[in-house]
Formats: sequence, structure tokens, C-alpha cells
Amino acid sequence: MRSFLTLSAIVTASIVVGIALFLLYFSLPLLEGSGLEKTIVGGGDGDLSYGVLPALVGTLWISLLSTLFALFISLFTSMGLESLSGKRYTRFVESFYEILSSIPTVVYAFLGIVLLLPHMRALFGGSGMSILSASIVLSLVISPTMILYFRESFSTVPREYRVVVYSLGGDEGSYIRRVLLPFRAKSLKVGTIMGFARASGDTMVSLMLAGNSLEIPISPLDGARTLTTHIALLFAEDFDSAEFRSIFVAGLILMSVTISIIVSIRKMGAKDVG
Amino acid sequence: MSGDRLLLHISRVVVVAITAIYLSILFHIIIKGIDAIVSLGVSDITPAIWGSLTLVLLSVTMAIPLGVSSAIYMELYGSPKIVEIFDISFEILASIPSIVIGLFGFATLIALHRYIPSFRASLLLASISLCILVLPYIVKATRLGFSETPSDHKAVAYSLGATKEDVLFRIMLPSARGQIKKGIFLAIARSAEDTAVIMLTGAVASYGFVDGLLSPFEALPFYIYYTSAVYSDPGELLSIYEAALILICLSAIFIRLSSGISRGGAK
Repeated sequence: MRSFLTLSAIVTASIVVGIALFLLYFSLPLLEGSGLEKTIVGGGDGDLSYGVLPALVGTLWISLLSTLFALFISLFTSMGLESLSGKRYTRFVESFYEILSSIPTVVYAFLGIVLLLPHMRALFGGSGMSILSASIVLSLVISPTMILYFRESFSTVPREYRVVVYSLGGDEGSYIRRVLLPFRAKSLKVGTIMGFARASGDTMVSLMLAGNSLEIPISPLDGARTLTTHIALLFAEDFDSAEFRSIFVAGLILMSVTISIIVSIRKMGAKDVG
Repeated sequence: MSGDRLLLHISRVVVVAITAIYLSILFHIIIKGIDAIVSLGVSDITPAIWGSLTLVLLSVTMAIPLGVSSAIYMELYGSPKIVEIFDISFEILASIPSIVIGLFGFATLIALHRYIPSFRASLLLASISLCILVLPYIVKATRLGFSETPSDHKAVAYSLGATKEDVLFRIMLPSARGQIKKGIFLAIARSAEDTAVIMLTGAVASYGFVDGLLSPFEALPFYIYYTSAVYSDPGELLSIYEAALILICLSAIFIRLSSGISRGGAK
């Protein structure tokens, strides 16, 4: 039995290594043949066909913008819920956010198409698909999880702290601003980083709402593709082409982002203990 | 102090506004979805429903034994160094974007296709890829369950001459059962909703009912993605709402179940 357990543990734990090796194996011909620079920026002379730069810029735009929106939403929502805590409906509201966090992203993206795009078209013209549209919907996707995370970290602040603030003549607002936020600054950071990780790894919202443009986006109203949609869109092409290889480069970049995020969260956690 | 009050007021306004936005989109989809079920029946999406159910069943069935036995290995035999390495690798696996796992499945397909030409993007490939996606949840839940096992129970068992296997089957697994169930429910919810993995590994728009492990298949999330890009009449649009409502109910039920158990365990 021990050997069976050992085998399955080794198999499961080495999947990550396997994924990294496969990505490297398939992207090496491109990295070797064209060099790192061309792999990133494409063939030059405006030929962006296999460069991952537009997708990289698109990912940065969409994940930063949506994290920013989501941070605003989640921070104020969790503070607002905190100030209402003790009342009967808080628990109800929390299970409401739990349900929201369980809604599949493809459903959020579909709702973005039918509910948000018509307004974006009316406001800005064009197809309505843009970095902004994708970021708005993506922020609604990641907010419920961030809100739940913030709420959980707020709930571990000892009750006495609030009593002290009140006895010094403060109110709920001063408690939140002077005690809660400074005390939970690290959780707020970690929650935001996790939100960013989800945003940068999401495929469906960007695929369905960002317009999948090949150009390097300059403004939030431009269409864009992300590293994830770059993979989703190109997979059916010729297996030996540079375009095809570039999706594995995109995969490698996404995996490096994931690993660096985990390392940074682990480091913050380690400081927490010390 | 006025800054503090202002902060409080803004927060409360944001809570109301955001909750209203979420409520209205939730109501929108529920009302349209029910409308669709009443007016269309479910005939259009029946293959996708069955496809999703088969897919979830296959991937979670593969993930349970692998995940649970990995967790047992880490608990009983792993040295601290190995356990740490495994922990990190599962943590990375849990956070890798699902499209990258789909890409891995797709790359495996290309690599194998040279040797086994009949192996193609199919239900089997998608299930294996989804199994990889949900494995970390099962491992994590099982390990959490083990860590909650009262250590004096284990100590008593060992002092009575029990072997590691006895302790595993009579004490650790029974006490971890609740957490393992929770992990399984979470895995079900995640594999039911994921689109990025299956779009690279075998989901197609119209194939009909599942007819074999090595065939392409339909699934609810892929149906929503594909149809919302190509729908041409109101009936098709309604059928997307139908698929979305069914998917939301599925996810909500299993996410609720997975957190319900943890609360029960905490008491």
C-alpha cells in the first residue's frame, strides 16, 4: 500500500513540473529561433503576429484596472458591512456574497455581453468591447471573493478594540479608519494580490468582452487580447508556426506570474508569523 | 473626526449600490432563465447538461483517489522537506490559470498524437485535464481533515499497538471524512463551471449526446460561451439564459454544501 501511496503522491506533485517542462519544450524552438526579444515584440516592422507583447500589455491593463475597481468595491463594501455588523441581515448578506462568488465566470461574461455592452456602445460607439468593459465585468467577478476574505480578516480583530475606541469618544467610522484598516493592512494587501492573480488568470471575461484586438492597446477604450485569450484564440492553427509556439510562451509567462505571486504571498505570511 | 464619518457614509452607499447591482443581475438571469425553461423546455441544451454531468463525474472520480492518497502519503510517510515541496507544488497547481492547464492537456494531445493517432481532443482528455485542475482542492481538504484529527486519539491507538494503517483507516480517515466531502463538493463546483480547460481539450458546440470517452462532447459552460458569440435569434439567446441558470444553481448548491460542512465541523 505504501508504494501505491508514494506513486500517486509523486505523480500528483510532479504535475506542476510536467506542465512547466511541456510549456518550455514547446516554446523553446521559438525562443531559440527568434531570440527572446523577437518572441516578445514580434517579427518587427509592425509584424506583431507572433509577439506576445500586445497580449502582455493587454493582460496588464485589464488585470490592473479590474483589481483597482475591485479593491474600491470590496474595501468599501467590507467596511460598510463591518459598520452594520451585529444586525440580523449581515449574515444574510454574507451568504449572498458567497453565492455570487460561486457564479461561473462564463455567466458573468455572458451577462456583460447582454447588459453592459449595449451601454458601452451607446456611450463610446464601436462594438463596445474594450479593456474597460472587460475590466468592469472582471471586477464584479473577483469582488465577492475579496469581500469574503476581507470580512473574514476583519472578524478576527478583538472586540475590546472597538470598546476602547467608543470609550474614547470615537464612533464606528473612527474605529474602522484608525483601528481596523491599520491592523488589517496586510490582509488587505494579500486579498488584493489574490484578486490580481485571479484577474490576470481569467480567460472567459477577456475573451468575450475585450475585443481580442491584435494591436498594442493604448487607452482603456481600445480592444485588447490578454495572455490567456491569446492561448484560447490561437490553438487551432498550424502546429509548427511561430504563432502557435507563442501560445506556449504566453503560458510560460502566466505560470511565472502565478509562481511569483505565490512566493510573495508566502513571504508576507512568513513575516506575519515572525 | 469628520473624515471618519465621511468614510462610513461612503462605505454604506457603496454597500447598497453594489448589492443592488448584484441583486439586479441575479434577478435578471433568474427571471430570464425561468422564462426560457417555461417557453423552450430543455431540449436544446439536454446534450450539454448530460455532457457536463459526465465530465464532472469522470474528473472528480479520478481526482478523489489520487488526491486522497497523496494527502495520506504526505501525512504518514513524507519527511518534512518532502511535505513542504509537495505543499508548494499543490499551491502552485491550485493557482495556475485554468487555460494553462487546458494548454497542458492540449500539448499532451499533440505529443501523444504521433504515437496514438486515434487519441484526440475528447471527453477523456478533458476529464483528465479537469482532474488536474481540481486535484489540489482534494489534497488540501484531506490534509485539513487530518490536521483536525485529535492527536490524543492517534497517540492512544499507537500506544495500544496499532499500526500506521490501523490509525489511518480507523481514526484519521473517519475523522477527516467531513473535510474530504467538502473538498469533493468544491471540486464538483469548479469542474462544472470551468470553460477554459474544456475549450482546449474537447468541448464542441454541437455534437449531441455523449457517446464515448474518445469523442468530443458538449458542456454547459462551453454552450454559454459559444452561443453567446453566435446567437442569431431570441430563442437561442433565451437558451443561453437557461444554461446559465442551471449552471448557477449547480455551482451555488455545491459551493454552499462545501462551506456548510466546514461550519458544521467547527462547532
